[in-house]
Amino acid sequence: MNDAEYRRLLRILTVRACRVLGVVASKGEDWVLGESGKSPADFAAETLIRWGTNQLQFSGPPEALPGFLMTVMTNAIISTLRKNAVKTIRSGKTMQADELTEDASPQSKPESLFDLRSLMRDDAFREALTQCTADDETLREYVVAIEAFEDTIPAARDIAELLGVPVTDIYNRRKKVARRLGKHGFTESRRRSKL
Amino acid sequence: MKKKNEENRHTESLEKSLGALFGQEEDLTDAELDEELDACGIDAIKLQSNVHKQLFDYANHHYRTLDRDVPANLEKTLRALRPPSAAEKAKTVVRTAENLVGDFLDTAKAKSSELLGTALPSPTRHAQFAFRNKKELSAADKDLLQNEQEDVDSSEK
Repeated sequence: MNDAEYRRLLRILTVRACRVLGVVASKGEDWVLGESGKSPADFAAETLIRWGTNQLQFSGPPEALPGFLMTVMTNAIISTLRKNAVKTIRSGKTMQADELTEDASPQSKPESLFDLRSLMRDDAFREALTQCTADDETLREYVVAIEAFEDTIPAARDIAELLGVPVTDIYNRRKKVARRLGKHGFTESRRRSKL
Repeated sequence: MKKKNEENRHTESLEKSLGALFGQEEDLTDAELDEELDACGIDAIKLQSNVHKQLFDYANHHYRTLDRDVPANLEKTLRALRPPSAAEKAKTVVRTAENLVGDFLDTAKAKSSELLGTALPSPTRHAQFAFRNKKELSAADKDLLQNEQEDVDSSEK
C-alpha cells in the first residue's frame, strides 16, 4: 500500500466508525456527557495500531484489507458497547462508568439495532430518518422502499427495481442519507421523541 | 467462545444493515469520504494529524523508549499519516500560488484576445483592383473608374 492508500484507509475506517456509532447512539440515554471517551477517530486509530503491531492476522490480498479492518473495528465497537459500564452518548462517543458523573443506570443493550428490520422499527432511529429526509421526496421514497423488504436485506438493484429508477440513483440516495444522518447526529430526534 | 460468536454474528448483521442503508464505505471516492466526515463534524486534515499523534505516541511509548524496533506496518502507517512539515507546506503554498498565477494569466490572455477581437473593427471587404502594369483600360475598368469619380464628386458637393 502506498501513502495515499493508507490515508484513504484511515478515512474509510473513520466513516465506518461514524456510521456505527451514529446508529447505536440512537439507542443512547437521554443525557449528554462531556467530550471524553472514545471518538470515531479513536476507534480508527486503535484498529490501525492493532494491525500495525501485528496483533491482527491478515493474509488476504491488499485490496481486502480495508474490509477486514472495518469488520475488526465494528466488532470492537460492539464489544465496547456490550460492556455494562459503557454508555453511548448522543455525539457517538462512549464513556466508562467510572468516569460518569450522572446517572449510571445500566443501558439497554443495542442488540435490537443490529438487524435492519429492527433498526427500521426503532422509534428514535426512524424519527431521525424522518427528520433527515423530510425535505427530499426521493429520500423519503428510498426509506419507504427499504422498509418494504420485510425479511431480506435489499441490494441496491432490488430497491432500484422496486422504485423503477437506475441503480446509480440508489447509490446517490444512500450517500445522501448517510451524510444527512451524520450531520443530524440523532440529538434532535431523541429530544423530540421525549416531548 | 459463545459470546465471541454472538458478537461476530452481530457485527455481520450490523455491517449488512449499514451496507443496505448507506452503501459500502469503500465505494466512496476520496471527496465523498471527506464530505461525509465533514457532515459528521470531522475535518479530514485534523483527523489525519490527530491519528498520527496517537500512533506516534504509541510507537514512542511501546517501542522507541524501550529501544525496540517499531513494527514495519506501524512505521509505514506513521510515515503515510505524517502531517506535512513546514517546508513541505511552504512548497505546497508556492505550487498553489504558481498554479493560481498561471491560471490567472491564461484567463487574462484569453479574455484580452476575446476583447481585442470584438473591439477592433472587422475588416471591410473591398474589391481589389489591379491596375498596375495594365496597358489599356477595359470597358469594365472604365465604368468602375467613372463610377468612383462620380461618387467622389457627389460627396464633395
